[in-house]
Amino acid sequence: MYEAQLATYRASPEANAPVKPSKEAKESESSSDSSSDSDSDTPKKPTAKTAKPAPGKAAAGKKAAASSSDSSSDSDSEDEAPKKPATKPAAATATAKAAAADSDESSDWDSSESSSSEDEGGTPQYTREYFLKKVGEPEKPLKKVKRVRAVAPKPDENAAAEAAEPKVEVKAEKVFFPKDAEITHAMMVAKLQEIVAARGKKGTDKNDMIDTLKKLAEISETAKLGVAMRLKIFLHLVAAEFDAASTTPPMSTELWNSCFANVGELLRIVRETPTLIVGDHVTEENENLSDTSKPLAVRGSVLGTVERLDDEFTRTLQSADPHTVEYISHLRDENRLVSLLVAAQEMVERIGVVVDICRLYLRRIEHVYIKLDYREFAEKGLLSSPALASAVSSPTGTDERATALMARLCKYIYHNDKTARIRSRAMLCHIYHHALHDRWFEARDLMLMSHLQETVTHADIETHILFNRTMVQLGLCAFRAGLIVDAHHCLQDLVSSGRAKELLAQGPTQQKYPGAERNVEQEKIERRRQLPFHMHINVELLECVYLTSAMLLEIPNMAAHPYNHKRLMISKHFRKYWDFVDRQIFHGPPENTRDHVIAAARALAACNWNQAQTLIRSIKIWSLFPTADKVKDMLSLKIQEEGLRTYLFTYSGIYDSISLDTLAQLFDLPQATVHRIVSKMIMSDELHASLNQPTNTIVVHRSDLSKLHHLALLFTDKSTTFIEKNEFLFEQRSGVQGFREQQQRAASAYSNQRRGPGQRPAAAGKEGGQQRLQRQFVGGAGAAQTQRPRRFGQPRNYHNNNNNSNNSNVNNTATQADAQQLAVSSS
Amino acid sequence: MLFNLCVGERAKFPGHVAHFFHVAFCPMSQYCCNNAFRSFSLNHCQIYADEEIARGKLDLISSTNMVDFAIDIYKTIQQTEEAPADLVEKRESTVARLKVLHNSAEPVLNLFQNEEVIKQLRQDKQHNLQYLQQHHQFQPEMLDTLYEYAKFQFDCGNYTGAADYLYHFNLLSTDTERTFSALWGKLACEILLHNWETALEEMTRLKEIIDSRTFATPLLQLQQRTWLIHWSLFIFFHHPRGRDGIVDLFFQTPYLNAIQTTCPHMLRYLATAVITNKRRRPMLKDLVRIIQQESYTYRDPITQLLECLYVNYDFDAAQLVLRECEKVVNNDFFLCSLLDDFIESARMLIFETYCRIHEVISIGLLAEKLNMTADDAERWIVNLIRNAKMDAKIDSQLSHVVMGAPTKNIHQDIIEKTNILSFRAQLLSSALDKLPSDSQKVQDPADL
Repeated sequence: MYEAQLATYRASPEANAPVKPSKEAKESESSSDSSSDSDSDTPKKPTAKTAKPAPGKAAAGKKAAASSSDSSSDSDSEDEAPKKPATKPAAATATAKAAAADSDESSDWDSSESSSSEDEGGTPQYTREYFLKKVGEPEKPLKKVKRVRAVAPKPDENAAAEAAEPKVEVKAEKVFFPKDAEITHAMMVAKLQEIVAARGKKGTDKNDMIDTLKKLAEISETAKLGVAMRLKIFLHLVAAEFDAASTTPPMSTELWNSCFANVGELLRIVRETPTLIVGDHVTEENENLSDTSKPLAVRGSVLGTVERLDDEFTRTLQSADPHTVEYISHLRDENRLVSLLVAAQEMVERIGVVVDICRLYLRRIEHVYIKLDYREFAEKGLLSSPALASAVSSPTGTDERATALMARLCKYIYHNDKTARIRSRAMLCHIYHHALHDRWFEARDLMLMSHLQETVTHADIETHILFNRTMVQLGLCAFRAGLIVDAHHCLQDLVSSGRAKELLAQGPTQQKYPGAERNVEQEKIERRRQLPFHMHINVELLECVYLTSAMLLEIPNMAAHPYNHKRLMISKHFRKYWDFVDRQIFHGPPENTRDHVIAAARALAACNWNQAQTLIRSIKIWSLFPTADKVKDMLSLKIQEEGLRTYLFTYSGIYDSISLDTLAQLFDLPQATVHRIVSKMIMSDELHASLNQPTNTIVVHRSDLSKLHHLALLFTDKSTTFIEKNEFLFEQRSGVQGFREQQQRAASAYSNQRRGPGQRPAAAGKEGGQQRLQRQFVGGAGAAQTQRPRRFGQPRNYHNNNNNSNNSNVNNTATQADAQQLAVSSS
Repeated sequence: MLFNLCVGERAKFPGHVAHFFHVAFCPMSQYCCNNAFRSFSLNHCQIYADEEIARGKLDLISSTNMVDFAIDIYKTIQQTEEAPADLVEKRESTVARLKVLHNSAEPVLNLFQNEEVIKQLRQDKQHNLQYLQQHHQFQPEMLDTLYEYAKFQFDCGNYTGAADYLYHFNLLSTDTERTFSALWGKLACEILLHNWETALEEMTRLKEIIDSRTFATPLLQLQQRTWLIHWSLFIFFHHPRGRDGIVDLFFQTPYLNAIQTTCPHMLRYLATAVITNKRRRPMLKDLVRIIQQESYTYRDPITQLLECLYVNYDFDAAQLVLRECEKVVNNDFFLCSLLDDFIESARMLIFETYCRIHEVISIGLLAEKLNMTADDAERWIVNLIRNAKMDAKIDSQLSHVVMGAPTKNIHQDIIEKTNILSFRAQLLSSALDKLPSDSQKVQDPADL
């Protein structure tokens, strides 16, 4: 139930958006426990109360005395939050007016400017600490504003007035400015410095600070101090809000909402005054808050706040319980966040600093890449329920198609990014997105061309996780496309490690030793890395896909090598479950997904493809694929084909000839398909038979190896290995170099002589076939091993650790390879 | 088709690479138009309209200095006798520039006419330069003039001269960038002059440089390789041993990667080369793998043929595709000369594969699969059997071909292997006997 809800979200964050009440109502009908959901937009008391205690408690622990004032301020902010949306337009017009008025009044304010700048120079720069968090922010030398300060006559009136008037309360208990005093920029900056100076110090109430700054903003509004001042205050305000959340990691919903509004305000200011320069490259001295004759300049990073907001959003989701209504209601905020990012993107694009653009693009990509664009599926007519497409709107936040957006953003990053990290992350997201949308070839090529498999080991852990996720998605994509071998390859490492959850950052690390102590610090870091629930890849589905593909590969393989199937294992993981079930005396009906697959495998091994089909089709988890019906059909067909292959492997020995028609009937396949499969098996020497065209039958040449044959061959192999080792030993001890080559040459000459030239096979085509035959007999595991990676394109392998499966007898295989060479050369 | 290919490629790689690139390419395409299209697409198959081709030619040539030629084409298109004013103007300026360049390059040219100078030149470039500077008032700037002159000559269509000058330039120049361009230029000249032997040498040299040189970006190297792959087609399909060469070159990993990433359409030529070349048959397996990998970006009847045969084992489809292949090969500039060879080899491939999986085949059906009449097919098979290429018999009453059954015996296999073993053990023990006595202390490892 919950899963489904989340899945629909994943598909369509906007569909559930709280904008339209009608939809809301529908939502609440559909889910019994989301009744309180409907009023998620308006701040709701019950949830607020549950969320609230956290910061309150923390503050209380620190400073018991201030608890009363604390709670009062809390309620204050709570009251303010609902008002906010209503007052916002008014405030906006006010600022607009202020901006207009600013130019008129600038002559007045100029006078005080000089004093303000003096203040700035003298005070310590507390604000830096926060904003300089992002290292490597490049300076923009071109945009540096040269400021020539106009020296204006300095009327003393203001100062005199200040001194004369007693301090009067403004609105709340706090006193900011003397009453009736004409508030100047200088005063404002001084006050701001004073407030901000307390930041980070012991005993500073963070919530208090937020209130103070808010009031300051109001005052500056009424005093018409201009947009630059407003921007500056808001930057501090947002910073203070983040501070408030820093002690108790998940931000409360109210705080986040107000923070969101403030960041939006910041972006709005920047957008509406294009001449305004804001950034970390503006030094304190170069700040220009009032002088409209020159471009206004404010210190601080808007981009930084946007990124921080995004981080806070993720963090809240991380710590929230995914099975609650709060989680989903918070998840809905993502829409707003994405539109905020779009606004920020416009800003960054306008300013045009490449590094910033890359950073922001990556943020956007990370919001888009996990989401399925249903419209694209609907266009291709692949969707099982077409109504879904119309109900769901775009995950991009704009009209643009997700694919086009991804391509545009990623290409920009590929071209312009200088840091390897952003590029490789963008690339992985791009691959993920391709894979999610069933574009297997594009995804594969991008993965292979990027060489990420080789370089990813040097990357940080987050990128590792992303890489694992991408690999999994690639595997799922291959599976949906019916490329079972590739799917198996992609998923093998991750699933067979048994730590899929951990490697995908979807669950805690498993302890290596149960008794070992847990490192608290490390655990904390790890928890921060965990992905929020809505980004998870379903691990059960993953295992189901892996086991199914392993089944389709392993069952014919087991049938083909009845005696030494232990050595030619394709999937250890699958074999483990297979053996476990095999040992049981009584086989109950399958319960979970894994049982289903294993039961299907047993049916398939008995060539009962009908039952295998039914079992596989009855697995419910396939419905998580958007094209579930197609996948099921594909699997049914594969089961029929593999069933045919298994049948031929198992029973070809007892037939003299088999009619193709019978086979086609037996496995319900068209005759052409049967012909194709049989031809392929004959060509690859899996089936020792040939076709009789006029009668349309398979003529089986000879029965497969008997147990005795098999053992005799094994013995020959072992004695070959033995003599190889002896020769090697001899060469080492005696110091005779090249003895083995000499031996081999002599041996091959000997065998040629014995056989005589007349005995050479006549047909050129057959010679190759015989060689291959011999190779199969002699090489055993060695031959299979060397050929396996080829299936996926030799020069561009996915994994190098495929070879590990046979690690135990590496020596054996090595010498066997030699023996094989010998045998080939001797023939 | 090729025309599109050439022009398309030219558009794909704008301005990056050395001077000679575009310059060389234009006459090349012109050459294609001239020799290839006039002779067949135009008159034979009517793929393109006459006028369209002429227009394309004009577009290409107008950027070179072959003004006279351009004027001719213009006249045919417009059906007039009057040359356009701008072209006439260009002609004059070209002639004037030719004179200027000729005058300035003359001293160098004279230098190389001198037998004595040629004798004194050696492998060492520095030495050569020093020698010329000391004895013949040679200035380094003169080299640049030589280069310019060579390029101009090339633009004018005087390829013999250009090749000569570029050769001399390469003897002396130490400027790696320009030497590199000059090599490309030289290769272009040789191709245009149909000197396939020299062209092959030039290409090998160029390939070594591309492989060994460090480029600013890997992308640039990839581009150079792509160009080389395209140009090499001219050489490989004209040089007598070219079909070995193309397989060897294209199957080198860097070039294979280049084909896969930038120009999968080259797979057609590679496939044809492999099909028609018996000695490179073992590469077929790799080729099929690559064709499968790239099947989503590139697919044509020739690659489809291989797919049908070695992936799907669908002989009916193969037979259909073979007919299409005939058309494609006939229309392809590079492949048209290989048509008969290709059809024969493709038939052979189909037949071989067919025989490997069949025991008894009816000749009538086989003939249909091979796109032959029954009598022809029978004759063909008889020839094959007579040439000992096939182990089969014909049952003429039923008109069947009966394949010789594979005689693989497990006992034989085991005996053979164990025989070798005993022989090897013998050798080993005799080798041990021959060793000096001190190694006798070592435990005898041949103790079977």
